[in-house]
Amino acid sequence: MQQRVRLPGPVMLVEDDPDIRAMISQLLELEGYRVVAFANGVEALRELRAGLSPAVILLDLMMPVMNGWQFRAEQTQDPRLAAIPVVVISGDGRVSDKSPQVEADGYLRKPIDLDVLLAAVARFALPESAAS
Amino acid sequence: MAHSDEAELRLTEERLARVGVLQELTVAALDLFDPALPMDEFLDRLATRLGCLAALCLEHGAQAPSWRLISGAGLSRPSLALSLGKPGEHPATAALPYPELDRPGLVRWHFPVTSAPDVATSLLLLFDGPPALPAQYYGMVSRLSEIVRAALVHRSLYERSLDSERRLLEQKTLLECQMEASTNAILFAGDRGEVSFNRRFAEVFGLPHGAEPGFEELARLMSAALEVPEAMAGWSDWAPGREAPACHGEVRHRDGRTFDLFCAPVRRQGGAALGRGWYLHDVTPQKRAAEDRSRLLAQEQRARALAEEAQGRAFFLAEASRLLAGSLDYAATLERVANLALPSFADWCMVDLIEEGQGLRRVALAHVEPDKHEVAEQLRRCSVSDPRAAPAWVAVALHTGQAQLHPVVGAQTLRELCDDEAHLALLQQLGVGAMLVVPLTARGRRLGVITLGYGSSGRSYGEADLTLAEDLACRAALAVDNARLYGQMQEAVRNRDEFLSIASHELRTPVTSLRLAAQGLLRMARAPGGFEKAPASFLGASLETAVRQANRMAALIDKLLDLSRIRAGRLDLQLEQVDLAEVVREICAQTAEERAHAGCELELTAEGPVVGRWDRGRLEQVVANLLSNACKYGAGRPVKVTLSCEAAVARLEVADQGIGIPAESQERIFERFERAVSASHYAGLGLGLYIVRRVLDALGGKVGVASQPGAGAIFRIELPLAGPETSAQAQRGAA
Repeated sequence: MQQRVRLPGPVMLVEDDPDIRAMISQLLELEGYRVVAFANGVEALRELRAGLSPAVILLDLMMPVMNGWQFRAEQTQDPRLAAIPVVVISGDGRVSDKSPQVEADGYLRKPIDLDVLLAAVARFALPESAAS
Repeated sequence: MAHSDEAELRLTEERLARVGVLQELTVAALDLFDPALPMDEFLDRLATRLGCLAALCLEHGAQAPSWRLISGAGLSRPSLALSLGKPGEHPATAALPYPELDRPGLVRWHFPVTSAPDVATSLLLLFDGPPALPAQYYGMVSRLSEIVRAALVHRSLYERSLDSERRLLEQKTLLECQMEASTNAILFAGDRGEVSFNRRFAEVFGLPHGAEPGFEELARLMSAALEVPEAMAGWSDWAPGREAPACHGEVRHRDGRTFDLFCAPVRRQGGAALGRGWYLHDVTPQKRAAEDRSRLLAQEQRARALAEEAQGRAFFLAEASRLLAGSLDYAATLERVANLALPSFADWCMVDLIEEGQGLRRVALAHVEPDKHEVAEQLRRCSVSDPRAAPAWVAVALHTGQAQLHPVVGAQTLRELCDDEAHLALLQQLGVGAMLVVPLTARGRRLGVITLGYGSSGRSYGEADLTLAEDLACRAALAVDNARLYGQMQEAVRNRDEFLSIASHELRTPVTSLRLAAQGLLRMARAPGGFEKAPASFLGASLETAVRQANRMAALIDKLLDLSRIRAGRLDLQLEQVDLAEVVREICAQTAEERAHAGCELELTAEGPVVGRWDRGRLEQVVANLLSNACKYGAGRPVKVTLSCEAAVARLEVADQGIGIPAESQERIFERFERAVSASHYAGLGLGLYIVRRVLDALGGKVGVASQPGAGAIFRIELPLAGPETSAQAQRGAA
């Protein structure tokens, strides 16, 4: 896989489960990333349109209010946002099989392995500070 | 004068002697008229009176080769046996074989006395030299030969008459023997009333041996014993002296025998009637043989018809089975099977099926007459939602599970079979003369009813048809059952896949947090400096997360176990006095964090205590599920919880102002793995409301929902304070 230019900027996390959201945020922050987390697509999209420019978006698919598919559709239609790399977090292979495939730059499958998570984020984002 | 007197006297004496001889010989010749007497005496007397050496009577038949000596006088016994000369020689001139006559100067007097046209007869007198007789003697003998001829003619006639009389007697005897020996019964009645009949006749009509009945009695006997067809009227209408035509026909004796009776006038050769004859020929054996033959033929035809019928049935069943096995679309298949039954087994055929949630549905109605199509179509649409409200014949078949055979359905029977007026009118138009009703039963469950009927064809149903219909129903029921099982199985597989998908997703969420927490801790531990350098907040948060996720998983597993328990009917209740108000308050407190995440404020109205005989753990589960749903689908708006108690029934309302539930989903959401909205938006097993309903069922309460999409949902629970009925109470209630 071609190594992309890693960009500075926060990691955006869109995930409805509060525990997963908190866990991923804490772990990434320990690695020196800045994390901005949202519980659904609507909130995340609002921030993006308000000017937030993350290095990568970690996107859960099954969420209330606005799910991952809808978020992705909105994002790719917005030329200012379309280029932001997205790593999709899918809960279940079966659900994904039945659901329309989401075009993404990376995929994480629950339960997420920490090393895989860190590697996926590291492909697109630079830590803002060195890990302690 | 004396001389002339003397001469005259001598002449007179001579004449007198001649007359005497003539008289004597004439008398002797007259004796010849008696055929019993031989000619010998006459010839002896002739020879003696005339002084012949011999007197012979010879004859020559037209066909005979030579003359034959009939009788002779003056010949020795051996000579009498000698045969006469050569053929064709005349006795007047032929040489004679008799030694006595072998002398010179033999004189022959020959007189033909032929008495019959085909036989020449001669009288031959032989003298030793010229006879010393007056010349008149020759003439006298000549005249005498005329008498002999007459006597011989008479003699011959008499003999012939005797002969024909004898022959007649013989023929009569022969005829009588034949008549007696005949196997036919024969009666002859003469015009003078005389009767004759044979032994067989006496036997047939029971006449005692030796009886001599008159014609009238015989006629009466015959009339009494015989059954004579009308076509032969007049067979006995005869009386002696009357003319009646011949008649012929078959009659039955009262003893069971059958006779061929011929009855006809008996005529003499000229055509005049002699009387009447009755001839009875026993045709019983032929008759029986013919009857046997026709019975065998009938049997064979019957057997053939049965075989063909059986073949028809077998073919029908095979074809029906083929159709039934060929498709899982049982409604369409039953329609084809109903049509297959026409016209061999029914004029019309209808199939009613109990469809889950739809009541009784008439899936098929076929009719043999195209012009009844409209009626059939109306009848087809006569489905009823409640099988118990079906027309009597269907309801009875469904209730008893027994097939009904109605060989004849009259107006009254039809009214009894069909108590539904709309149905009755349509059935009357359709035409019902006979009916067969068979329930469709599979695995002990009544699935529906097949009804076969005859109308316009006027045919009827028998036991064989019933068997056929039951066989058909058995196969049809099996096919319907199979198709439904297949459908259920597919549904079950779909449900299982869905469940596995959701369950794995639900498990993945806590496992994800747990794994990240554990891996984070591990990464910390392996990092230079280890935990010592790790931020304390991270350690605490990770461990808290790990514990919380473990709890979540435990709760999930509990839910799955509950599902198993409910499905197995083992939702054990631990009944005790529970204050529902307290439970509600506790759960509200416990779910504060979740509400906070969801952004839903709580408005709790719980006037306590509301104490009932319930299972505390299950109540907690119910309240938690309802609150959880309210938060999940509450769109961040306030959630209202209201508890009240009235008439020994506790009422709990959980109202949100969220997305709401469409009307068509409001029943479905209480089923397993169901939710009103897509799983891609809302996580969860889809088991919460299912468990709520089952718990309330077990506690004798109920749950309902009132909602409009976009306007939130209100879940209402009613719980009797007394708790669930005991099993004894439940049984009394059911009875």
